[in-house]
Amino acid sequence: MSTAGVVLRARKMSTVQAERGVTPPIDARDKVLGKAAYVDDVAVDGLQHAVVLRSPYARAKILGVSLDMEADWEGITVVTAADIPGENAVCIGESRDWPLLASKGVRHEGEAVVVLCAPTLRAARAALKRIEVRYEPLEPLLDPRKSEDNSVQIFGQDNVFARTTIERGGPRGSGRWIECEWQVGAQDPVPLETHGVIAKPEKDGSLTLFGTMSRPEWVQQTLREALKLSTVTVIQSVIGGGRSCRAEVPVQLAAHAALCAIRIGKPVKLQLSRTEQLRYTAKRHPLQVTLRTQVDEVGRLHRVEARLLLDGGAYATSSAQALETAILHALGPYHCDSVYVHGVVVATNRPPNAALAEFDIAAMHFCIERQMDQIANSRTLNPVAVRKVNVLRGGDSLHTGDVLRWAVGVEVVETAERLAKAPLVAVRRPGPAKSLPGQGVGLSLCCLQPQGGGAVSVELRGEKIRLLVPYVDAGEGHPTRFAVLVSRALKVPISSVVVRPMDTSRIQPSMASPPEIQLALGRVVQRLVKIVAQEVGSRSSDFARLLKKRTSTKRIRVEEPILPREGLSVAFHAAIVDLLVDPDTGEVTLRRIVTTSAGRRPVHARMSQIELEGAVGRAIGSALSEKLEVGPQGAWRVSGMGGIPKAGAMPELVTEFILAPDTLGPAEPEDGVGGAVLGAIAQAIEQATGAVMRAVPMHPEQVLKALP
Amino acid sequence: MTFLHRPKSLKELLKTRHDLPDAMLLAGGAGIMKILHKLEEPPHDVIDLGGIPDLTGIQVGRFGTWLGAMTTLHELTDDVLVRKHHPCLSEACSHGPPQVRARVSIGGIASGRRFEVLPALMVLGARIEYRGQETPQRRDRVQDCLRKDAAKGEVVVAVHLPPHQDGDQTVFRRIQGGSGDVVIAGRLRVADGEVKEAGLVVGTPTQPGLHIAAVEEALIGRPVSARPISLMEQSFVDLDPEGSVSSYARAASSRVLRSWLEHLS
Amino acid sequence: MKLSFRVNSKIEVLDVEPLTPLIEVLRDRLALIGAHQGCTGDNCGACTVLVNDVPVYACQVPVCQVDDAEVRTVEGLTADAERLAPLQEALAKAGATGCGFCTPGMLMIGLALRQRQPRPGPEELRELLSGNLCRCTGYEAIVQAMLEVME
Ligand SMILES: Cc1cc2nc3c(=O)[nH]c(=O)nc-3n(C[C@H](O)[C@H](O)[C@H](O)COP(=O)(O)OP(=O)(O)OC[C@H]3O[C@@H](n4cnc5c(N)ncnc54)[C@H](O)[C@@H]3O)c2cc1C
Ligand code: FES
Ligand code: FES
Repeated sequence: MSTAGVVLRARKMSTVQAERGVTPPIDARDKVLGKAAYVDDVAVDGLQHAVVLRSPYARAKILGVSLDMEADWEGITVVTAADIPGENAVCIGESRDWPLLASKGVRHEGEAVVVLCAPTLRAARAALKRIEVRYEPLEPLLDPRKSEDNSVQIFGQDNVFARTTIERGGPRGSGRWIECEWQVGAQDPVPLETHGVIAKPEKDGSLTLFGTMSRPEWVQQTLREALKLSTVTVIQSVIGGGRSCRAEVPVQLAAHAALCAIRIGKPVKLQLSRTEQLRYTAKRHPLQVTLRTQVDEVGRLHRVEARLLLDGGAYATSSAQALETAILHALGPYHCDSVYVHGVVVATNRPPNAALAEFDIAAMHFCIERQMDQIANSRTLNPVAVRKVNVLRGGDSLHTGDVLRWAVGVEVVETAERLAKAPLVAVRRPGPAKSLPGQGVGLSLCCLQPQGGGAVSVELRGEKIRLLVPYVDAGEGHPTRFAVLVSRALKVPISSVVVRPMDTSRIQPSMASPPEIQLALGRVVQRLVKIVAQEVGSRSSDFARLLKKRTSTKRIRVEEPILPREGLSVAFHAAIVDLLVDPDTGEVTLRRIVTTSAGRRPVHARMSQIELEGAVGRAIGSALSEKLEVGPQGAWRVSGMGGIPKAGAMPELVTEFILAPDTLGPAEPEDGVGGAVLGAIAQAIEQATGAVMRAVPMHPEQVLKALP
Repeated sequence: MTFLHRPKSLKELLKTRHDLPDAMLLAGGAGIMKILHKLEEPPHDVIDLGGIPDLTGIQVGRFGTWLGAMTTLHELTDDVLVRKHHPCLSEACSHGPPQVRARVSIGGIASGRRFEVLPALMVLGARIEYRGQETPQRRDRVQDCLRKDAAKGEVVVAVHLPPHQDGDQTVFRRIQGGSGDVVIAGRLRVADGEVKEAGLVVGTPTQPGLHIAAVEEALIGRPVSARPISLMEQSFVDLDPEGSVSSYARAASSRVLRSWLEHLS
Repeated sequence: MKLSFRVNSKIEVLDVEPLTPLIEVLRDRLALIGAHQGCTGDNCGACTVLVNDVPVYACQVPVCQVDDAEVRTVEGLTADAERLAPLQEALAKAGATGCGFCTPGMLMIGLALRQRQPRPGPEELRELLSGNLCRCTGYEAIVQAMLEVME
């Protein structure tokens, strides 16, 4: 019942040439000229610099804070929890347990205790050393498997931030059981630009915040509740580092900068150092999954039982959302009528982790893809065949109860298989003669829960069309896609479409996703055409002609709500990885990765392709080179930025899109491809060497250890 | 306030160094910022080694190879003779981004303990030449230099490599490990179908969590000469027995070596 | 110390502390904000500039080392913002600017490699980009754009 057609082949070598003349990103010019203004690029008169004093302990009582009175405190402002006029809490959605500044005790290493600001960064850093915080260290809880024992109480009665169980269909009698445990360590979003905020008090008593904040409504809410500020404007700077998790931590930073700015009546900047960014900011929740599957002789799933444990860190922040994403993808792209899924996200004395959709989806897929491989092994079946037997088909329902009206899992695998047969364009770093070649396949499914909310507006100003959309871009390029959509719909040059960056004084923030925004933009543009047609008394729907006729210079503004569409929005991905493993050292050299993705027709195929390539790169980084270790007090000890692979580690990439009927609303093609890549890398290593990789990352150490 | 001194000759350098024993040396400059981050205050004096002809140049001859202390990694990999006679060193210097390789000097490596290159120098039997105004000129093996700091007032002026001998074969591998990189440098002298001399050095950064710039002496194995392979593996016992880094380094390097020997025979 | 150097062909004379990182001087004293600081010596490469045509990390160069030297930054790639330099044009057209934070550094290393003889082939180019990280693009678009210009 599924239909699919190949609309676009974007092969590595030909793409740039083939797509010459495609609209470049609207902000590309500023970026290649070095003119794009990131937080640290903005000059503000009288700017003060803030720094944060952080806890060295995972868990401790705070006995007191004192300043060295011998030191010169002229021009330096120190802020502690006692200076917060309202509720000492960062607002992350409904959650309120994360303090702006610790007061009685600290729950993780790196927790903010004091903020101070000074006229220069150097002076601020020097002053930090003149503050003494006295602690009484307490036994910390660092192992999430022990959280529910409750030996240390961190959150509520049982240290559980959220818990979900889904049960569908009863246990079945027949089939062989296979039980495995899988682990995916934390992942760091490693943005190239660290989080930063400037808080500027205005003459009218309001406050403007400028910086790398992707959730302006949380900033506003926090400042309303904690600082009792009624008028707060949040303006988005250009943000460095795609998919970089600018949600939670920047809210706290904004509050820190605001506390100082209000106190001294001057603009204050707070930008994290690279070390702070690496050690203390939110990572993707470390995940442990036990999967029990009952299968028949062809590997068909008769029952799936999954138990998920996520480490939320010291505060709830967005942990419930991370759990929801993991649960939603617990079966990956596969179908089974008899399911038991139980997930819990617990508290530990570690820096709080955050929901990071791209990685949350990928992590869960690694586990389910590995399970499929073990199912194939246990019955000596072909792993691709096992996937094809189980992959979701049109009319199947997910374990959440949603029914998929279309599904093209089989087609994406087959297309990927076809593409993977082509000879390698280049053999990257051929490696030692003894290298063992391996090939693996992975599948993934990306489900986007529609959120809706807020509105989009278009403004006609003379010839220019201005879009006001509730979206914060961090390099994913959605503003360009919005502009392309509008310019195409109106048949006007893209240069006459302007997309405003997020500014809460003009745009109401919303949780809506880019595809939902695109749908609303489609509608609002149609309304704009009608209004202009009416104004000039024409029946034409040719916007360019209408504009020519138009004599009035009056500004027209049309607003359209963003409606959540019914049902899920889904994209399928398949990845085929071709790699070499050095049997002496366990080093993995990737040769080629083929991905095929099925979803809606992309608005700007070239940008979707680059986004996909970026997502594949991030998956490679987390699979093979990321180095995250836990320090003695629970914070991360990260050496370098290994989560980003180097250019030389990238294989030949082949990406292809498959157009799927748009019956369930649009999906972002790039989300979720990482899961297929992670699974395929692990399977290819196993094919090459027989080593069963049970965890991410898969460094040479782990590969060598797993060799049979 | 920091004062910058720019001696124009070795003699002038040694005098300045003698007069200002606490001054900081500035060679390629690639390691300076990391050192500064650790200091409470910037140094009072800095001596720039950039303008001293006596510290530059590469000479390959019958008695071995002389590398001026200010020779950069980039120059070392680009040099045809170095590549021909000491491929292991050439390879060791080819790692890392061009932005760093264009600046890091071999003198800086000898004193800064950059672990990617040191194993290659050690396995090749390199000696480091020190000069000071008051101390006599000395040439020390790299492994001896690692055990003690240079005397006050001394500078590294050059690195010497013994001449390449017929039958010498080398191997160099750099593995990107999860807990840090592992470097393996090996050398064999084969004559009359027999292994006459063998050396192996494994370099790893410090324990995970510590800064990569400081190489723990304990993690660098001593070269083993003219012994069978089984004995070579014994030399790994000297490595830190607890750390996972070194147990991996031990396993991987002995396998690399075994494959290499199989390949040679 | 009194420092005199040329930045994008313009002579600058400044009184500076000799060990100040070059990036601080460029950004804070000369308002050249194109080179970005993404790390502190972790090789992100966002700060890459050319000193006498050699690519360096501006965050790791003490400014006294550029005395009398010629420094080139992204701002010097084109004198006229209406007409982009070939590398800029190629990166923009290829859609190789995601968030753009790595872009100025990529352009400068690209310029240095373009001047190199012989010009690097695709695989060598990838290796030579090992000191410039990009989180957004997976590098493919950047590499293709650079190769196109180098041909
Ligand atoms: C991006 C980057 C990455 C790096 N990665 C690593 C790494 O992975 N591992 C590692 O170990 N190091 C690393 N380093 C550090 C660097 O390789 C070493 O610090 C090296 O010493 C720098 O050499 P240089 O010529 O630039 O010395 P400089 O930075 O100019 O000098 C640093 C110090 O070295 C000493 N020194 C230099 N030359 C001499 C001499 N001729 N005689 C006596 N003393 C001298 C002096 O004490 C001087 O103060 C890295 C540096 C950078 C910038
Ligand atoms: S800022 Fe210079 S290397 Fe990252
Ligand atoms: S474009 Fe974002 S880091 Fe390269």
